[in-house]
Amino acid sequence: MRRLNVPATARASFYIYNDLDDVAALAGSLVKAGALFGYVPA
Amino acid sequence: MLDAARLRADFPLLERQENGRRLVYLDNAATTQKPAAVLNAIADYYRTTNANVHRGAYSLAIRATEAYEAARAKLGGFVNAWAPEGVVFTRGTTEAINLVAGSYGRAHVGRGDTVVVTALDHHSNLVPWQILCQEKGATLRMVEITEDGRIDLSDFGTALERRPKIVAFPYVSNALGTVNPTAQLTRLAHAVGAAVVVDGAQSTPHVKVDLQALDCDFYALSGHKMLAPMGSGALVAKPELLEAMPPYHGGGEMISRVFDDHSTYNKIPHKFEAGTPNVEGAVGLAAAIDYLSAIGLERIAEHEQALAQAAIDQLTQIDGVTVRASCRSHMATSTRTTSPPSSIRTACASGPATTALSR
Repeated sequence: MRRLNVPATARASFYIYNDLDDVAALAGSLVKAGALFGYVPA
Repeated sequence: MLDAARLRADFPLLERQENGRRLVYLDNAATTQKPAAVLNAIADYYRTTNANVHRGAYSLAIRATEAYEAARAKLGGFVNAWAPEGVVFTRGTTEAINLVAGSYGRAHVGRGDTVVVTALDHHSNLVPWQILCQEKGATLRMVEITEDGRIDLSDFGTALERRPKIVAFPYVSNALGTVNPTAQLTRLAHAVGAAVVVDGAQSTPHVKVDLQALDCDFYALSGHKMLAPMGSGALVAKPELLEAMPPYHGGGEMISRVFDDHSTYNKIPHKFEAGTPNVEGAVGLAAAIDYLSAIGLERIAEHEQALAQAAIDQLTQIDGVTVRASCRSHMATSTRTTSPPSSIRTACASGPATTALSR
């Protein structure tokens, strides 16, 4: 993360039992996280 | 894509709810859940076969030894190893790399020598080399990565000008999921006489690994990232290198004859498997390989790429999220400009579904 010059990342990694519902849940959660914590456009 | 709903039914833990909702498990790069086939193989081993291996002449001990050695052969076949005796069971990738650093590294790296790693490497493929270089007075040279998370080939070439004794890099990176051109990097490193150590923790579960084609010298893998139990894994190496290496851990199983002041050592791979091994781990790993092989690694990779691409497409639509991932991989890593992952995890836990995100 130091190399990419970012303070923090969230990693999602998939395997055989994941499906598109899981992807939608991830996207929905990140939207919710943004609403909750706010962000500063880069 | 795979029929994920059908496969999901094979995993007892995924049938459970977390926080009163369907569990969405997206931390597979950290560890995977285990199918009933693996859980049953472990239970069956203890119910029908358990005895110490390579020590007893009674039928139970012979069956346990056969199960353990069959798992070794199966794993060797799965990654197209050079020979079954080139497969050394370890606790996982970390122990495998420590074995190479502690045995091959100590024997071949001296004061003023260079060991090359990359900025893509996980701690398990960095810290063992730091310890080795500090002990020997050698230089650790870290190859830079490009803006899009790939090994900088130009800097890799510059690092090789130091004629390193060892070059270590991941086949697939832990943080970003980048798939590295492993055969090409290996050829370049061999051309300057370096031994090549590949961290296979993130590649073995997701891509068809052909070690003889890659031609690296050492390959480390973890079972727990590919449906097998925690504490299972292996170092897969060219047998002639293992033959020439000094032992790593001392103890039972790795010796041939023991005198008061010295011992002679067992043949490979047993020379590197001191003490009673994790036989249930090996048996569980063999069951995991059967399970994955029945699906097919190519289909698994295709499924993951479709999911990663869908994630990239959806996440890039969200304000303030920068996606850092390769569409060839099974991972999508996102950067939210201000929120630390612990905050994101908290937010997700209160969301419509529980999302496991790693710190």
